[in-house]
Amino acid sequence: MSKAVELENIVKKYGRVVAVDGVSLEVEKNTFFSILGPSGCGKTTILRMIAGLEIPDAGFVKMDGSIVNNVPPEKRGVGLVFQGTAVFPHMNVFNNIAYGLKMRKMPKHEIEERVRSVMRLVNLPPEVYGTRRVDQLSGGERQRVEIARSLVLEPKVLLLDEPLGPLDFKIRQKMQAELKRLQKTTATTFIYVTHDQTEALSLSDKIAVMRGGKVVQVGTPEEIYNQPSDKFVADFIGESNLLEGRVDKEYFYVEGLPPIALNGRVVPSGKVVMAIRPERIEMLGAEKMENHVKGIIVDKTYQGVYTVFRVQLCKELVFTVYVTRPDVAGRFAVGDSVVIGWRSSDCVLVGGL
Amino acid sequence: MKLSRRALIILLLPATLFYTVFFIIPFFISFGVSLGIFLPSDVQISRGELFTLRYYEQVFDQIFLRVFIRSIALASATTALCLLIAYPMAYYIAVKAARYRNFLLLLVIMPLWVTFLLRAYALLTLLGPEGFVNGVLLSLGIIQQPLFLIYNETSVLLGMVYSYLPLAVLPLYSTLVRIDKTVIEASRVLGAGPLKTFFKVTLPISWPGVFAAVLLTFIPAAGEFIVPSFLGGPNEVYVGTLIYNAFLAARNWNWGAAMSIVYISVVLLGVVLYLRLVGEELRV
Repeated sequence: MSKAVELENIVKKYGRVVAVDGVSLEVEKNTFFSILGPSGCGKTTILRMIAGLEIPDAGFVKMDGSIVNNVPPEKRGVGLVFQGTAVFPHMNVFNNIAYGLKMRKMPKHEIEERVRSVMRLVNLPPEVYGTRRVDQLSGGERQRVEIARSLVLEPKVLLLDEPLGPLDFKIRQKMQAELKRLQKTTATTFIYVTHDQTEALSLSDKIAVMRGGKVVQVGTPEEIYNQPSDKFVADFIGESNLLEGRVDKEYFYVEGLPPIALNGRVVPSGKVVMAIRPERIEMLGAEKMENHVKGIIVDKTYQGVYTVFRVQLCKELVFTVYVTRPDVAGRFAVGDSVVIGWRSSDCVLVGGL
Repeated sequence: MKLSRRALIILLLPATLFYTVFFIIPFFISFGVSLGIFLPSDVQISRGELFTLRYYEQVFDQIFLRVFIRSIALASATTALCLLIAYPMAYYIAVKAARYRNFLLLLVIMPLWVTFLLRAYALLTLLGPEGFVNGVLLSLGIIQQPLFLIYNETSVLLGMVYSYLPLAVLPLYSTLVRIDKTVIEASRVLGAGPLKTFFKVTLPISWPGVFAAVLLTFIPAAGEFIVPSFLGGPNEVYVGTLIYNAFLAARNWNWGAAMSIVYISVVLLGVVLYLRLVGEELRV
């Protein structure tokens, strides 16, 4: 099966700045693919090159197996959704959505029909919203106009550039669910650019994590979260306690800590970095766990869903621990001495030094 | 933001006073003069008329009507030419020249720093029989005799466009610069080529700027008097020159005032219609 989009060693420079530095990616058809990374990592530039708004300096952009590097945006047949800023301010909702169909010179009644059905699909009932001017719409509604405007053309690939960026938390959540539903019902390939790891984790079939113009890891959300390929990914996706040390046979040695048992896990000997997720660390009954360390609580912050503790283990090492149960969190206060523990299997190798 | 009544009065007082003293009162004095209520002419006094419409009858004379129409035509041509030149210029500055934007804008408004009069003189010397243009053409041997480039309609139009171009560029620039780049890109991705995108998206969004540019150039151009009198010479008569002559050369203030009132009314009517018809459409 050919891929919806393939990038081969894409390079894009702006003056002396290398925005995208040799990126290769394959996006399967009908999947929800996210490109995740901090701002300035080149993720938007990649999206723009797939859309045809930028031309790569080197490498190939392929769609359906053929090279499209020099195909102008209007001939690529992709959809592009911005942050709701790109609605046409001089047209009403109906005309915004009909724009692409009119460009394709589709007969009037067919345009009417398709616009109406796509409006229902994105929850903008045509009877209510059809003649509404775009400046009378909320941020979420504009966003849906943009999505509808692209979807009505039945693109093979829909590109979304941080589409939920400016929305409130509640609407964001609702729109996320809606996007996921749309991707499934329309059987379209979604390529979704975001800096929000929660968004990427919850929506995607596959995620590419980017940093400094390069792809650092590609994988399913579970792979990215549970087996981050390096320190950066471990730290960027959620929070991680990173431990730098040396592996020797069955144990991982970190300065200031007792040896950490690997319990049969095969880890190459030598200097490595390990990551432990804060929510995998226990503060209650930790003495009985395979690995446990004594520490002093230096900070406690209530976060709603969980309480964040910072536990000083030795001079250079402070661990972050999430405690979900309020009764457990209530037993500990700043200044208390505590034993924290974790399973060997929750200690993830994220790379050599 | 809602302002209290008192704040409004305080804020608007200086402007109101200024316009009352220097615009509204003089306007009504002119209106009075045009009817002969103030400064009645000898004829009027000898007939014992308190006011008269005779000065308006003088205005609606064949020749004067022709001058009126010419002036409107000149202002229209000026506006049209200004728009044609200013639009691509403003588009370039606003959309393409991101880094040099402020510098280019500065260049656009630079001519406004030099007084109007001086600029008219400059054009005169540039285009005159012994001016720069003729000098170059002569020395290159392209022409044997100096071309007569001034004191005709073309030179007047040229001077007008030269004078009013910045006034057209600025409002166009300010609407074009506010267009979100993503709107234009969205149009491309949705299947419209660059030209279609311009006519379906960029141009329609910038209509308010075009609208403002038309007002800003047409109104002053309609009453322009310096450029035609410098570059038009004695043969090119426009309303501005006519009114000027009535007041200062013929010393017939009643006649001059009547012409002013009629011309202001015509232009005002045009502007009101324009605001109503076009402005409403654009909701500016």
